Amino acid sequence: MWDSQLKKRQERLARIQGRLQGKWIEADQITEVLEALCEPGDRVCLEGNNQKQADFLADALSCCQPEKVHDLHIVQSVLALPSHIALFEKGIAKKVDFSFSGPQSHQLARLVTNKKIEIGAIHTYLELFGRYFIDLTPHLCLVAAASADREGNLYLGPNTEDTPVIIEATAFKSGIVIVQVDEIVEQLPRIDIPRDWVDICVKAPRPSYVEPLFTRDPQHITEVQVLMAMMAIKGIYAPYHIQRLNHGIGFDTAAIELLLPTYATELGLRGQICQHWALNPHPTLIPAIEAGFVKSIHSFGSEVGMENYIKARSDVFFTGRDGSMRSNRAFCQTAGLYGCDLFIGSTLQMDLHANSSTATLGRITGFGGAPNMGSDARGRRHASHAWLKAGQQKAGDAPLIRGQKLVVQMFETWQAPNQPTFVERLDAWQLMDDMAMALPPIMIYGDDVTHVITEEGIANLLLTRNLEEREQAIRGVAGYTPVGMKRDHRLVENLRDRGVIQRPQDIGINVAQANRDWLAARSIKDLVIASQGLYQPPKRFRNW
Amino acid sequence: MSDTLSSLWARLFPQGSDIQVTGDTLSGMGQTREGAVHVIGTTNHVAVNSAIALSLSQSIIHCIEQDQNHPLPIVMIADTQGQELSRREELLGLNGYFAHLARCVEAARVKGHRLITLIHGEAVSGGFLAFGLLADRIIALPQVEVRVMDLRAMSRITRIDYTRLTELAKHSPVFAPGPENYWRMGGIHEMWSLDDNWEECLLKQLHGPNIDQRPELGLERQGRELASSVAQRVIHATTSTTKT
Amino acid sequence: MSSLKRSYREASARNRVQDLCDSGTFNEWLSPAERITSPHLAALGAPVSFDDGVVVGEGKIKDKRVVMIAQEGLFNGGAVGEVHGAKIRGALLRAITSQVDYVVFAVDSGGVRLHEANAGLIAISEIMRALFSVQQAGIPVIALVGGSCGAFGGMGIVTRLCDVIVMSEEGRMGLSGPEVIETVKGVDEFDAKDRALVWRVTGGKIRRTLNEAQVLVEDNIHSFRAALEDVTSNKIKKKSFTLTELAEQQQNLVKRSLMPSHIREGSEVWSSLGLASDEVSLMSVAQFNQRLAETTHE
Repeated sequence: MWDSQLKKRQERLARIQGRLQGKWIEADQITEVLEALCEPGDRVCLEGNNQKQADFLADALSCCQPEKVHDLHIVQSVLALPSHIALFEKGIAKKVDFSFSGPQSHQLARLVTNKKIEIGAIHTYLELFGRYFIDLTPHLCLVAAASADREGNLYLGPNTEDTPVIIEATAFKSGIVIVQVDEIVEQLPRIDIPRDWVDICVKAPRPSYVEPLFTRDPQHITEVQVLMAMMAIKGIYAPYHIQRLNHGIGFDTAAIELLLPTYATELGLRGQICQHWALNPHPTLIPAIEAGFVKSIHSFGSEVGMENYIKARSDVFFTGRDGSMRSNRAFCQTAGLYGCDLFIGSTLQMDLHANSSTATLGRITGFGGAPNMGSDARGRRHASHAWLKAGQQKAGDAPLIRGQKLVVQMFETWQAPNQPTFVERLDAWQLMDDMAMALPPIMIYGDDVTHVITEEGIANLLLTRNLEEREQAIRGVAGYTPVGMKRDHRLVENLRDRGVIQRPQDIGINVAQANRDWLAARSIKDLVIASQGLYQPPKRFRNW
Repeated sequence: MSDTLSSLWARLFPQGSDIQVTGDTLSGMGQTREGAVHVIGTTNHVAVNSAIALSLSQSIIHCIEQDQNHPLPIVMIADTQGQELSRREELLGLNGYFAHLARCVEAARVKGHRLITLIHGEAVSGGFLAFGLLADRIIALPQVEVRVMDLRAMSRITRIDYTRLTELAKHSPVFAPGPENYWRMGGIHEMWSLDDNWEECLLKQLHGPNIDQRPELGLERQGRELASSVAQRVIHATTSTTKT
Repeated sequence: MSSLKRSYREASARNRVQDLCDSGTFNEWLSPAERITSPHLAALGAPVSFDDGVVVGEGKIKDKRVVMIAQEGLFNGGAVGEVHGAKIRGALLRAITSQVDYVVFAVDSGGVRLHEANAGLIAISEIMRALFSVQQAGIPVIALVGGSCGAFGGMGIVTRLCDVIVMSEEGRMGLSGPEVIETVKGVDEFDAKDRALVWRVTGGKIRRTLNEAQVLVEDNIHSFRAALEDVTSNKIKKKSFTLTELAEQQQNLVKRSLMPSHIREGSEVWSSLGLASDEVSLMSVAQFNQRLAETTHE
């Protein structure tokens, strides 16, 4: 009676016995195999990452006949492909628990409106991974690997991302692990997943899709972003001695990365800041690495084109014995949450409580990893200069019992004409009503935010003594937005006198000097040259 | 040779001419009462490419070589829809071929050749700029088109409403196609009609200054009121350091 | 800041001129303070600029007197209209009367300004004639091509009339812009969105390879200035109007047009010289200049 899951697993495998050659099946039989394996109500984890997609298996699953396969419960981190949406449109699946749906956010909202989908919950990555081991353990998982040998040992390639955590949860709870591989080889570069954990392999007709999501062309960085990057470096990284950190993926933070070898070096900060990172291999970090700024980087996933560079810089990146990168989203998220002193990122909207949201009406985007990175880990115990200093600023005169992670939001006061970043009320509230959610989809909670940087200055929310001061500190850097215009000028000047608000000139930054000449690379090509030709950007980023 | 070209030669050179058309270029001699003139040019509304530019520049070099001691006038027949649009031509550096052609035209002027352009057919931007537009005197024959771009294309690119453009074009010569507009701006010296005696008209063009006075002509004809005065202001501007 | 590269491409026309000249020596004629704008743009309801998109004046470079002309690519693509053209023509004529040592023409233009197309076309032909007069007066004209708009249309022709062309790798030069070719002839003829291809056809490295640009420099105002100092420290090889020189250039151009007809982009030119396109594109300017010298032994 206590091994029903194991028996179920054997039953399922028996149904496809005739089709397997060892662990292998032919690509054209995959849909029939999935139809034979799946049962209504099964929890299926379809590997959809930020970058790597098990797109062949997703297509195959979406081609199943709804009479045979229906009412599946999908548990996957990212809904990225049209085939992910098709599962629900066709009735193959009916419920989803997920983290992020960037490219499909509009379609997802439409499914909700049309009652084609039931959303269990929207998670951060770590929450969802956690629940894989608690109550959302997959019955089947469909994942992607770079290569396999005949026995079914897997090499996951540089874009490991979610694969290990998905397979771990499935394989050790009597689930069935199905893998699409880009190629079959005699000898793997390294074994990332042993064959015992794998049930079924199929060679995909084309390599799994990987999106170069973390490549920012320096050409598009503006002078305002340079100014804000100067403020971040001189106004936050330097005084807090930020050594361990995570960056968002926008142009604002790319500007910081490109100012390290120039501006930060000129300030004498090499070795003093930014040595340890939880970060994907951003091409814009190449000049800082080459300048000797960076000691280590652990990554969630890789980035297309960075393979050779990573291999040649194994002192910095985590790599296998074969030289290729080893990434892991679950570990890197943990590293970002517990191991880092600072998160800095951007947002589309921020309210007067410093709550920020990237939610837009008519779309359900979810969260991904930012809320884990951008939150104070209240379970943290180990101290660091930055953590203690921020903690003391927050505690004021009270005795210090806990430090504080720095969570910095950096953005321009206007996203576009008629679209201020600062708002009295987030669109997230409206979206909550429209989509009948339990809570508004807030990306970073205001009570975790320690600093706000705009082109007008830095607001240090740790130093505010009450809610009124906090609100005025936010208004005080909100520029000419309606929120900014409603500031109490006297109070804002008072906050400035106390250093709660700092204008660029208050920290010795000449706005006239904030120009693109500070960028250590001004184009993708400059990055290639900085990498000594090791970085090989995808075609669409090349102008040569 | 097309009928229109034959009748053009007949009207210009009643005393006779010997002008060959090779492909889309032409060259030869025409006889006038005051003596022979060279004739060089293009026909068939050709899109000028590197080969045609080279053929024109070679013809001009020939004229200069032939007439070392007694430079004869050169009548330049302009008939082009513009430059050829082609990646290969751009790779070759078509602008450089045009620049070479322009330099040859200027060299002929320096050596004492009188340069007279007759627009016959159409004269459009690039192909016109490097050749016909550089003559001492520029003449539009009847029923020709002169332009950079037609108004519909201009409307599309500048995103200015087409009706508004046509309305404005009634009063302003500055952007709309048409030889009259170019005449008003001083870019065309004369427009000949079918009633004119073209041989006589041509003879009148064979003498006169060869310096560029088109800005002043545009001012006089009230079609281009700033070109002359702004250039003069630059020439006479007092020198004062600008601090910006 | 002094140690940093100062991008030529990203600088404004006025900043280019000021940084190219000896500090504090540049005097602008008809500066924005005089607010001379295009009435034709205003008539069409289009934005105007107080300098009509071009900076002209006189300055000193290493103590030599120089007339400076710099087009502003950020205003209407540096396109030439009546006022813009007249300022350039006036500056060229003034170079003759005041007998300066040379003229610097910082070209950054797509050609004729469509809003005043007729005036622009005539103006460019007047610029060409004024430029010839400058050269006949024995004053060399040096073109700089490194702005975001490059040197196209009529300004592509004017640029090639200059005695020396200094170009950055990022600079582009041609006659018809890739977008125009794509619009009229289709994407198979020229894919204007393929930026790499655009550069392989019009960019500084291929223009240098074909010896249209005589100097290739980094995208750095200081590099442009150094090139100017270098070019003018020796006797400049001026272009003349002699038959010998015209015949020689005629021959060169004929020879170039005999390039096999399948060659339609820079990588094919490079491979005919034994250079791999990817290799060429990643070479620094110094490396490229050296390789080119070895390959073509000019």
